[in-house]
Amino acid sequence: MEPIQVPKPSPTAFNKKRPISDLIRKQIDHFQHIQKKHKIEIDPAVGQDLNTEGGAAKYIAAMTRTLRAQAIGAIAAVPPRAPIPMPTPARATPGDGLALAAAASTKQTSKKKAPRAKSSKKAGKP
Amino acid sequence: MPLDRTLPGIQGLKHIVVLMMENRSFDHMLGALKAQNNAIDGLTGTESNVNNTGAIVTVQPLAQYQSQLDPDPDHHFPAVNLQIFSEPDHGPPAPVTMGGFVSSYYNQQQNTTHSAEILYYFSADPPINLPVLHTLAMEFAVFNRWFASIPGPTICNRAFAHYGTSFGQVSMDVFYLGKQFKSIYERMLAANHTCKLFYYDEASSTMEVVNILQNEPAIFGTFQDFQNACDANALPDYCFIEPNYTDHDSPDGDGEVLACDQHPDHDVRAGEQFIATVYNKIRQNPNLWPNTALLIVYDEHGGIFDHVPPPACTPDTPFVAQPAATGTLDAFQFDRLGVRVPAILVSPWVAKGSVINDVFEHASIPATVTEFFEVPFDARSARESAAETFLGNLTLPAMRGDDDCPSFTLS
Repeated sequence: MEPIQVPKPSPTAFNKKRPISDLIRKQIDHFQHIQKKHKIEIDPAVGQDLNTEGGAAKYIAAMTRTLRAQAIGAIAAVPPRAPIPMPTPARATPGDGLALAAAASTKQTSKKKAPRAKSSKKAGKP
Repeated sequence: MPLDRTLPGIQGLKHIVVLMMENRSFDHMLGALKAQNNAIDGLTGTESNVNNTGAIVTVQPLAQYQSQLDPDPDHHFPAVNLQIFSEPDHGPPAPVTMGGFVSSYYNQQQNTTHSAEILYYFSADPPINLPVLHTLAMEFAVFNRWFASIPGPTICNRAFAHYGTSFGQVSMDVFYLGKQFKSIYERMLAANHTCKLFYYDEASSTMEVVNILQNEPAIFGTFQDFQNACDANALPDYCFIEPNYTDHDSPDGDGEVLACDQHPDHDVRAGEQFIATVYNKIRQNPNLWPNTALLIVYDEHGGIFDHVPPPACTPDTPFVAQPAATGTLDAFQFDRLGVRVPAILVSPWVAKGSVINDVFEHASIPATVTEFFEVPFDARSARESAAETFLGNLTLPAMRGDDDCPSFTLS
């Protein structure tokens, strides 16, 4: 079977100034919730533009890098929006599930780049 | 039905890889394939909605890669009610119409012409088609009945893939997992299996911020890590891959990174290339291809038309979303599924042109992983307990040969 050619995106597709979607806005909300809860300090400059995809990505990268570096492990005792409880919930301990068994690379502060095309624009190509 | 472990494809299976894309409906992406394989429950070309003027508008194979679905079609709970029931405030017993998609999109811009584009789907023919998704669907197994877990947005739907429940959430608000149901990653690690959740890069990160990234940052890797693991024959037993959600500068300042999640209004071709890259990484490694099952699935329909009525399902007892949470006049007991999404199972042990007609939803993912790896974990959500598992479709008595399976070349 002959290899099937996959067309590349338009050269004009990239737009880091695109306003963020509701999804990214909520992703930022979740990061800000964690930032406030754990009093995480990041460079204020990376949080100045949270309304565009490019600006939001800088904040998300800073938070992700920090969380992975700090390996924050505390589980909140009281959910902010608690669902209806089960009659007899099993008790989870803070250490549950923290063991690492994955075989892939786990450099926590890796500067490894995302997979890239040979051009300056990347779209998931190795 | 219990998994038949005597199947050759199951006996050799070592890895399950799930790639979850963003916000496209089954008909939008795969509906055109009905013309090539009538068993695929796609489009006949006569499906329609009524627009704001009372005119009937039909589906058309005119979907574009980008710039058509702007603004992002509404897919929060009331809008999905409108799309499914032609009524935003109530669900059942209102009759299912699948007739409110155009009305819902019209509500966002009051543009009659533009609202009809919510019915557009991708052609099976060039120049604007989906060579990767369409090829994989035709060459392996397509699910005719894989539905989003909730008639709502991304984060609560993705939760079902990780926990088998959304713990009562129907929105994208912050929530904490109930301690009674552990994530599939916790289960796997506790059973001494390897697993990894691969986000694209740090700037895209994950949608599982509060419950997983906060508590278990070590189980994450980047997409580059996934590729490295493939090359090193060190792929974890279970892998979940998230696409890149934004256009952004590379975190190390070297180049630009294009969103590849296919969320409107990102270029769908970038997602095609991403899917092809994941597939090629597995397909081209003889140490992985025979023993890896790849599931490509979308989290929810993104407000885009599909013609198949979502079915009722086992209620996710004890969770109930109250009217204040659903934004409608009804409480929701998680007893019906969301709109149908594209889902494709890839393995050389899957017969070419397979069409799977059983009902699946995202809780089928942790259910399948837990079942296959025999993870001793009984405390599952009601929805996960009832969910179908999908590995029983690796039915071939012998593996398909190299010449019988496609490969992709990226432009």
